[in-house]
Amino acid sequence: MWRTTAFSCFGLTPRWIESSPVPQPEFSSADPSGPAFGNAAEWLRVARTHMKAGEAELAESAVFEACRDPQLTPDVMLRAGRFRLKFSAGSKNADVTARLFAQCTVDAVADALSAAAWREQTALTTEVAPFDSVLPSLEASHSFQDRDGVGVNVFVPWNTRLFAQRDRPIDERIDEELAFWQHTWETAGRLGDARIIQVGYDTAYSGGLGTFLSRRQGERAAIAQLNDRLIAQLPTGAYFVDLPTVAGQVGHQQFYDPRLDHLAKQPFSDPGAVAIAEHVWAGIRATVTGPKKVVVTDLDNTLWGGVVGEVGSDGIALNDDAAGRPFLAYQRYLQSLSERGCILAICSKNNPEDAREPFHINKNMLLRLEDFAAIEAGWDPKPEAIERIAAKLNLGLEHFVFVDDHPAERHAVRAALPQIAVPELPQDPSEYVRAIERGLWFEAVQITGEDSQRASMYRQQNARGESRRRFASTEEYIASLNLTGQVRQIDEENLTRVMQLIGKTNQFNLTTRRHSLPHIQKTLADSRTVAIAVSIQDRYGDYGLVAVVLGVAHEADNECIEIDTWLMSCRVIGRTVEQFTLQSFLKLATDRGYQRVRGTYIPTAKNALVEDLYPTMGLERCLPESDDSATFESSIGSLCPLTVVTETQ
Amino acid sequence: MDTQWKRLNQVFQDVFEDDAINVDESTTAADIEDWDSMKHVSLMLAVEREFQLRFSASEIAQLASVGELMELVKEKST
Repeated sequence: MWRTTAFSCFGLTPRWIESSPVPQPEFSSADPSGPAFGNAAEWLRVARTHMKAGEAELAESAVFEACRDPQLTPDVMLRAGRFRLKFSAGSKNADVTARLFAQCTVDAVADALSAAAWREQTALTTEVAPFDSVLPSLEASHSFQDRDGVGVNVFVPWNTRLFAQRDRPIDERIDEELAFWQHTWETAGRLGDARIIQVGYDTAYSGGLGTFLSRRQGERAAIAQLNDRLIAQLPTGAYFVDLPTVAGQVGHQQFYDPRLDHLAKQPFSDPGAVAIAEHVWAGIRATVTGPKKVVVTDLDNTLWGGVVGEVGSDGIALNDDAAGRPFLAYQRYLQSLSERGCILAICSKNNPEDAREPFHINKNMLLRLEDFAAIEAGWDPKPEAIERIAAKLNLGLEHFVFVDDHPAERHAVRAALPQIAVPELPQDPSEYVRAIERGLWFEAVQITGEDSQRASMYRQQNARGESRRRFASTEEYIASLNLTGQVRQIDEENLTRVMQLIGKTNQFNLTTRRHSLPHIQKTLADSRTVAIAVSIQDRYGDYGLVAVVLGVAHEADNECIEIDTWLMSCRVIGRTVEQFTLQSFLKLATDRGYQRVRGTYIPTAKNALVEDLYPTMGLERCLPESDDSATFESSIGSLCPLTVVTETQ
Repeated sequence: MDTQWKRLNQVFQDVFEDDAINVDESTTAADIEDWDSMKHVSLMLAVEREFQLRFSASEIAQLASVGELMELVKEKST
């Protein structure tokens, strides 16, 4: 059932879940918060044993458990990363290859990066360029191969040159640093498809001017100006790690290490390097699949203080006092996540009525029931309830974050659903928001108009669901929806949303090619390309931009258009949008002089849905067949798809 | 076996992820395959954590054998 391809898809469910269970290390598990997850060092010893016995997959599972330890310390995280890198070198296809080009020593950052990725079940390989050799190494590097997975370039400056040439005006030196990185970005763009993660500048010292004057006109001012300009000039789709912010989060004294700087030209301590790696990993996630999409929250002692079943809707702590303010802060944080496009859901062990009543009765509630796209309130185990939420939202569990104050519930979800991110909430509710922010789950490179509308889109979806139940047949239901659609060329206006879909669509995706922005721009610039974006509405509301088809001229036959990418948002599957999309695409292709169309299906673990799409549309299978892909072809004239979508302007 | 040597051996085994490692006074970087300059730094940091001490940059850079390391550990532990 699980077919994998040479191009491994980022964010797939874990490979080893199907294999034999991992033996637990030997210590008692009386504590429900789970020492089985509480001892990374023990897990690494287990991994060593497996490695020695030649059981590579079990060793990797043990390293995964080590990375997941909520109490993981930086030194053990580095060990876990090194272990993974050492024992997986060259063994299987990587999901991501990260190349680090730095003006300081970043070996520890690379090691921690591997562990951060493995914690989210992504096999990340690193290549660290020689010290302070950014451009020569970049130019000498070959382009990423399919078996390397998604390619990422990580650029790490340091302030040595900036502060070295004291005889030259600081403005000149700043301009020069900026020009250097712009040249580096252009070179990277020319060489290939890889994402860019740019780390910023910082300094461990204020220098002779002292703190204030350094910030106004000295070294700290230069750093601030340089970072601002880097951010402003950053290529679209790239991610920036603001070093002063990261250093401030860790604490300057702990983040920088003069001894390591003098010993090995690594300005950061090992904990500092780990913090940088966490941000770089969040950036990689942001540039490939995007931020986490769903927060599932508990209610009692998470969304409000106290247990509503015991104290009633007016007895819960939500007043503007010391008891209620932490929960109001947490609700405000969830609101802000919802405003930027994150979906909220509830998973609570409560009577369904008790769970809902505070939303109707308690005047201090900031969130409303309709802010939540799914509500599971009952007595089933939470992992089952969360799986139902995932099915309802039609989203993979790897996009979920689960917030619950109860250690046993967190433990149960971590054990049953390893793909879900479960932040370790501290006991003090005042610290909830900071604990969740520390996870960096919501890093993104842009917010689109569609993101801000997401909450209302799910309200519309729930309304559609209600309507569906009223109809006897699917055809009647679809006809009742009054679907309308628009077909547009892919342009600057919709490009962001198109890139989002390319990065995250898994099910209705014929080829699952995670193209980068430079690649798409290059393809669009070719006059032989036919590329469309389809937007759909129905009587309940606007689905927005939901389908993308990218066609390129076939290399051997310039009257044949080859469909490189065809994907569709899961929101509109099964509503004849597929036919409308293909028909619109073929009309445009015919206008451009194409006579034949070719499409390829590349199977993954998630897109079995579209295995027979091309044959259903009337295309014929080409020989020879292979396990890795199937190709279909037809003359355009002989295809006549049906549709109930009315095209409007 | 002297407990300090036992603890030092455990540090080596953890840093190199190899339970077969067994060091003594004469062991040098040439004897362990992965022992390059970055590993050397990680090793010294791990020794510091295990024995609750602190080396200076030059002390770390100048150590030539595990014997010298153990002498330094004993010196700083008193």
